[in-house]
Amino acid sequence: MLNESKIFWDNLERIKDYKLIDDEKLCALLGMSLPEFRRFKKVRAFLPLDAIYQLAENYNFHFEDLLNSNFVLKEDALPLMEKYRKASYSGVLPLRNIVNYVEVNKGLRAKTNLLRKFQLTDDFFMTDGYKTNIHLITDMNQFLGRTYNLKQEDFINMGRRSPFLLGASKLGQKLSQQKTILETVTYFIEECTKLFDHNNKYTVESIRNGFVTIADTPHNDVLIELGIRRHQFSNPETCFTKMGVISSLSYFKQKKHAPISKISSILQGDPANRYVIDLNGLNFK
Amino acid sequence: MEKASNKSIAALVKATRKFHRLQQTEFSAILGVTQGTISKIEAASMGPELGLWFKFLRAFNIQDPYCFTYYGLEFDQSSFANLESDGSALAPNFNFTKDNIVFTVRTIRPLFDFITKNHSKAFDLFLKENKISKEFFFILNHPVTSEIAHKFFIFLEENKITAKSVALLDLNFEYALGRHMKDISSSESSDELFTIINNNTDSGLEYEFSGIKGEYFINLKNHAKSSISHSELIMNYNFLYPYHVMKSLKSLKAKTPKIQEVKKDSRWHVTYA
Repeated sequence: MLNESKIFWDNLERIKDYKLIDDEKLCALLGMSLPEFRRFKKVRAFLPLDAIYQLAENYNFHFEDLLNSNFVLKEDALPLMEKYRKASYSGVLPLRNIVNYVEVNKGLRAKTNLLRKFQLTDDFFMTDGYKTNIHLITDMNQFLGRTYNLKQEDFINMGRRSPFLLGASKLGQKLSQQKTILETVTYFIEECTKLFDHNNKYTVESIRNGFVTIADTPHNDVLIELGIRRHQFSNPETCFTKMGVISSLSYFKQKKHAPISKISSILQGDPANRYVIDLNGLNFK
Repeated sequence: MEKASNKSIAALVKATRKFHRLQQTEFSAILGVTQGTISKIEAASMGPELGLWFKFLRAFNIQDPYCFTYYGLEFDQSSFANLESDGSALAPNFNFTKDNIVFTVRTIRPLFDFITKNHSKAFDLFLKENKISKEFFFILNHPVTSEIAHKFFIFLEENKITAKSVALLDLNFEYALGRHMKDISSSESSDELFTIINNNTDSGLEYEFSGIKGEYFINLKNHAKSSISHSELIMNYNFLYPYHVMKSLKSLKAKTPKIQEVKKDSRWHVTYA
């Protein structure tokens, strides 16, 4: 508790320094009087929850992060925290799936909590031009897994939000207009993935008896730029959401998801992630 | 000094403890604090430290850390797994079988907030007679049985809230819909508003925006028939739910709404402007 108190007050000082505000201004944001605030500060006691909440709402962060010794407030003019700006080669589409899933399945409050946690606003998801790095996607998935005890199937279902979100878009229309499910899959993997994911290279490795094997390999230069190794690049939750996206490609043509499995994983030391989708239960040709 | 948030936290902590049938000593042991701390928190004379608040949320599977802002919380569904076999500590005289459950507390929370403000003595007596704890109404996703609903709405009628007069009530949805109210008040389209309402009601009714301001439709799902067929008051209240939400936002200047059955026992039309 003593340590938590220190972290809490250190974070308040950090906020003051960053925002160039004094105790008086901070109190105004907390909705407290200066004498009351100073009584708490003197003994390093935690401030009342509603005061902390008010401060967090003012600055758009999750109030639990005041207990995080690594807490950093996002710069006002930028849409993302610094951690997520380096080597930013992902479009917002994967994130839209995640946020939409949370909103639909857990409610608007859960979505708000998620946005606060990452100091994001709705505007970020409405702007196609914004880019982020893989860490935002993996951190978000990890946070959700921990907060809501989500399982593999939940993350796959996250990815399966794609047809609902892309539906009326140009991309969604192009996918629906492909002649067969097989063409939808190959078109998406080979032509579309590079539109929103420059972190990885996706290829259709083989098509055999209704089974399509897809390989997904992180680009080496992205790994170098991020300063991480291959096995640090993603996490199981994010792989499951990708599987969900891929399995949902058949939905554009037949309103059914195709079964999908993972047969190799970079997290386990393989050179690439490999997924196999089974189109045999569908009219795929 | 009692702060507004301390009162809310006190109510939610006590509701959680009582729901889980824990004494203060057992509850405090789970959270790693003294019984005295819990006693003070439940008396609203102090609030929990930030770390303790999150420990409490995680220990009891409460997913929204901001729940203290709207005087209501939701447990993870697993918390209700034994309701059928063990009953509810907050309403021990009632059977919570699956067939018996008509909606959750959220549906009637605006009425609870109205009654506690306007008929508190009579309501306290009602709760005592039926052995329902006040804390029952702070758990927004606690199932409500048809028997509880029936007794609750009879109480309303005894206090002059009838099928006709329910439309005239000024209900507050701040606690029922919580942080959603911010989103509802900032939503620009009626479609969005109705989507939010549908996602947050569970009476088995689907509210359908007609595309024209001042009216909407209600579609009744089969399993919901029993939830609203007990009385005209229950039916009217549920039918007028979106109307009341919009009225509470002061986003409409409404005439008394009219409800018309469009398809027998399955579809109704509500007009209010």
